[in-house]
Amino acid sequence: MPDNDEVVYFLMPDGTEVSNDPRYHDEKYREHLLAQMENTGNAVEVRLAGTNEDEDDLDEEDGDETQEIERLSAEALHELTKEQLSAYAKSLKAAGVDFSTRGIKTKEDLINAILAAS
Amino acid sequence: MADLTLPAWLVGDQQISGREQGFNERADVIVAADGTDLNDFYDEVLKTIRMRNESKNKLINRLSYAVTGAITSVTVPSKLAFEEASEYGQPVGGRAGGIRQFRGYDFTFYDLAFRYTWMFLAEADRAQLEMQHNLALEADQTLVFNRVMKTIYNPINVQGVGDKNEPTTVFKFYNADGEVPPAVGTFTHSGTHSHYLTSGGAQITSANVDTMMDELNHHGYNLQGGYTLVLLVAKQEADRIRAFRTSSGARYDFVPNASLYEGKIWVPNNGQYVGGPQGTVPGEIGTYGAFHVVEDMNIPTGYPFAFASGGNDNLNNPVGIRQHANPAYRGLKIIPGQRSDYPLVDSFYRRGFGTGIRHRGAGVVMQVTTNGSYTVPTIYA
Repeated sequence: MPDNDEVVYFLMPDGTEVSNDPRYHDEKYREHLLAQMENTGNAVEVRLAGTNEDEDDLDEEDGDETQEIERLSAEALHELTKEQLSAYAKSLKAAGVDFSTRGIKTKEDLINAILAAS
Repeated sequence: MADLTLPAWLVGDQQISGREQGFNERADVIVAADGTDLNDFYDEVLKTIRMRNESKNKLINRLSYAVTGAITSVTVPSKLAFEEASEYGQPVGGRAGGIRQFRGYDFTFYDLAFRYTWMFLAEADRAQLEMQHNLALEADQTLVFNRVMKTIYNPINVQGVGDKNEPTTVFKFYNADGEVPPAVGTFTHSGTHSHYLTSGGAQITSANVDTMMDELNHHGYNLQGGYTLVLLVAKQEADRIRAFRTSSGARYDFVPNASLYEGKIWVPNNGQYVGGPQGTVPGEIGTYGAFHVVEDMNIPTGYPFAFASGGNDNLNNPVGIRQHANPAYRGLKIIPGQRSDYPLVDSFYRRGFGTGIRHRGAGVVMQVTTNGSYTVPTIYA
């Protein structure tokens, strides 16, 4: 059986995944770190329009329907959850407000980018 | 000796029930109230124990090699190659040696006590005491057997502890832990190489068995290398393998063990007269290609296991059984109790040993399942 590049893991009788593959542990550790970071609010992974092909396709379908977006203040932006903020940023983009998403890693970065575009 | 199939209740490893624990007191002394000859009774018990142990012993001897260190090294010779000579230059210098792969073994002490009252000892027949002793021997063999089987069937590397409390990695067969198996001939492998496979179907096929043979072969464990290839299966898989024929697409014909056929010859489907394969291993039901197929009731159903054996307690066997560095602590020991008049009263049995895989490519486990991931069998988890 030729070796392949898939991450190898095994199962214990109770269904628990176990592995000797170092990449398996790297993946699990990364998931653990991301979960920890989200819990502590130190970093938020934000996905914006233009970074996901599926979403881009959807955007193209109804791309002509631009609408006026109410601009929120810095204080109001800070009160939004990360999901609300992400949706708000997406709707701004759809409405034609241009701001750069390059290098954005935290919620604070995104708020600053939105405010800078105002 | 003709193979004998024993009922499961006779040979199985039943759990210890409540009546098998506690003190042996005077009331436990067995008397022959019905006129039974007690010597005959205990002879029968001892024979049963011997029968139970026989198949396990043969299996363990074929699989294992006794080591005394916490870590041993298995050497793979390095290779040198000539290069085309140039008119002016010097050839590249060779540095012959070998790849030393270190294999660790864990180590644990186990014990088992028999507690007798002095009245029991005063009344009990010698045969009854011998029976207790033989039960301890059987428990010891079961312990070693189960530890070896867990080492084989559970693919997760574990940490063992050396003589000076230094941690050692106890390896299993190749399990995608990053160790790249040495190249053999044209065969090269990667760090994700695994010898814990799944069949991809609900029933074992000849292609599955061929795959297991190839897995041993491409690490150099083959007949030409002086190894005996053994395939251990449960009854369910044995019944399927018995039907493998080239006429139905298999790579080889299954040839039944001659001793199971009074005529000691085998006539395949095409009617040609042929002799049977030479040489058998204990418990063999027949051969399939290079494999000696052994049906064994200690193998879990749906988990065929193939290995390359160098012989009994041979250096080339895949499993290492670690014994204590001090010879006084090796093997099964009986430790006498404190009372000099009745040393048996508080005596107990002690065994210290550990296991680990020495030759990581010399064994392959396959789970017969449609699932893509290998699941450790419950009995040897």
